[in-house]
Amino acid sequence: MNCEATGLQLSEFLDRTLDDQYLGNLREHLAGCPRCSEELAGLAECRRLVANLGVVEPPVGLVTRVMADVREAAHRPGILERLFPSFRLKLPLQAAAVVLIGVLSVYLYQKEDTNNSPLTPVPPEPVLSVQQGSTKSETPKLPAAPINSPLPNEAKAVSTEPAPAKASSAPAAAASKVGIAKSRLESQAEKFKSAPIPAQGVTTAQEGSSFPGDLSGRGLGSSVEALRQPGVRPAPFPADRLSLLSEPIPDYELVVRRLPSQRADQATPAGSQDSLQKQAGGASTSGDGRRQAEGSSRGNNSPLEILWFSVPYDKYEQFKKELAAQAIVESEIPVAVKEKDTSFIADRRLSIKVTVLPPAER
Amino acid sequence: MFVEGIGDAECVKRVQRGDADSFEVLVRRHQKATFNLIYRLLGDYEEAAEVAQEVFLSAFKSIHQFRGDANFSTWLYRIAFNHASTRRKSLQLAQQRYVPLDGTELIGDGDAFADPEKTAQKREAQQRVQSALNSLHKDDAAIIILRDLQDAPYEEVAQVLEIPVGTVKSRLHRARRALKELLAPKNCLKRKAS
Repeated sequence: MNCEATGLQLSEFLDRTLDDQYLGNLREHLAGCPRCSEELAGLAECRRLVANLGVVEPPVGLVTRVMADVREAAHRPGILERLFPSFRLKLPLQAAAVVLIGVLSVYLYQKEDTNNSPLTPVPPEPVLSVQQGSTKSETPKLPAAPINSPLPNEAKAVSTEPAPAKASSAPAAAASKVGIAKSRLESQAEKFKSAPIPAQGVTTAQEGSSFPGDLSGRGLGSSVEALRQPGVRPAPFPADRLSLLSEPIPDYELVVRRLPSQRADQATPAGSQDSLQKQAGGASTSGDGRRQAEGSSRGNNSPLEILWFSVPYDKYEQFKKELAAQAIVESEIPVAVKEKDTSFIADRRLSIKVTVLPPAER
Repeated sequence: MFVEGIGDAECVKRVQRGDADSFEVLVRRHQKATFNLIYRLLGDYEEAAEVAQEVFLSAFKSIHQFRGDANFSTWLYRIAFNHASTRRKSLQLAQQRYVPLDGTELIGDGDAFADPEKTAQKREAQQRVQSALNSLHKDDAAIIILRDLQDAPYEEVAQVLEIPVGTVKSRLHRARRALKELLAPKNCLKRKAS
C-alpha cells in the first residue's frame, strides 16, 4: 500500500467506518510511514476542533416567531384566491345576475311576441272608395251616404272611407265563437274610425271643372257656385303642417257668414247647390272624419260649419271673390302665409279653412 | 394538543392534514440542529436566526411535498442548506465573515464557569475554525459541519447534499484537508495579518 492509496482511507479510519479488510493494511502502512501518520494526526485535530465548536443555542423566541408565521401562512389565501380575491362571493352574484337578465329577456320577448301575435287581427285597411264616372264604391255594404256631386262637371270624386266598423261589430256581437278575435277587430275598427283622417282621406272633387281657377275643396263633395270645384284634388297636408292633433294648419283662415237667404234649416242637403249649408251637408258624406263629425254632430241646423279648400296660389283672389258672392266674408287671416313670403311660388296650392257662420239675426 | 411524544412522521401527517399547531413540535425538536447548521454555514448569529425562521416557514409551506422517503430532519437540513447557501452567497460570507465575539457560541458548552484564560483560548480557537469554515466552499463546509459537528451519517449527508455516499467520503476527505491547511499556524497568521 502506498501513500496515495491511503489518502481516502484516512478519513474513513478517523470516522471508524473503514472496512476491516482495509483496516489492517492501513495500520501497517501508518506504522511505517511518518508522512501519512502526520496527515492522519492533522485530520484528527481538525475534526476535534470542529467538534469543539459546540452547539449554539437558537435565539429565544424563534419558535414563537416561526409559529406566528406558520399560522399566518395557514390562513393565507391560496393562489386562486389571491388571483380572484372574492371569487367565491362573485361567482354566485354573477350567476344570479345572468339568470335574472335571461329571465327578463325571455319575459320581454314573450310580451313583445304577444303584441305582435298573428292571432291579433290586423287593423283593417281603410277602404278606398273611388268614384270615377260610373265607378262604384268598392265597399258596397257600407251604409255610406250618397255622394253629393251635384255638379255635372265633377268628373270624379275620390273618397276614402274608414273601415266598416259598425258592419263588423254586428257580426262580432252575434258570433260568440269568434268573440275574442271579433272584439279585437271591432276595437281596432273603432279605433280606426275615430282616428284622425289622414291627408289623403278626404273627399275631393276632380279636375275638369268649369271653374277656371281650379278650386279644390276638401271635405265637401258639394259646391257652392262660388266654391264649385272644377277639379277637386286631394289637398295635401304635409306632415310638417299637421299639428299634434292632426289639425292641418291652413294658409288662410276665412270666416264667412251666410246670407240671410241661406238659412241652414232652409237648405236641402241634396238640392240646394248654392248654399253653404249644402256644402256642409255634403261634407257629412265625405270621408273627412273630423269635419264629418263636426257636421253631423250639429246636423244641418248647425250654426257653424268648417270647410276646407285647396286652391292654387294664383287663384286665391278669384276664390275670395266668388266666396264673397255667396257669403259675407267677415275676416281673412293669413295663418301660415305671410305677405310677401318669398318662399311662395305661383303654382303652390293654398290650404284654406272657411268657417261658415249662420246668418245674422235680424 | 402539544404532544412531544409523537414521532416526526406523525407530526408531519397531522400538519399535512391541516393541523398547523403540530408543526410546533417539529420546530421545537429540530430548531437547535437546524439553527447550528445555518449558523456554522453563515457565521453570523443574527443572520442565522433570520434564515432559520425562513427555513421553518418554507418547510411548513412545502410540507405537502414531503413524502416520508427520508427523515424529516434530513429533509429540513436540505432546506436549511439551500437557504443558507443562498444567503451566504449574497453576503459573501466565505471571505469576510468572522465569528462575533459575543460569547453566544459558548452557550451550552458546559464550561461557562471555567478558567477565563482557557475560555478565551477556546473562544479564539472557535473563531479560527469558524473563519476557516467560512473560507471553505459551501459544500465542503456543509459536509464538515454535518459530519464532524452534527455527527450525521454518510447517508444523511448524501441526502442533504444530494450526492452519492462515495462522493461524500471523497469530498469529506478533501474538505478536511482543506480545513487543515486553513488551520495551519502559518495560514492563521496570514489571516490575522490581513
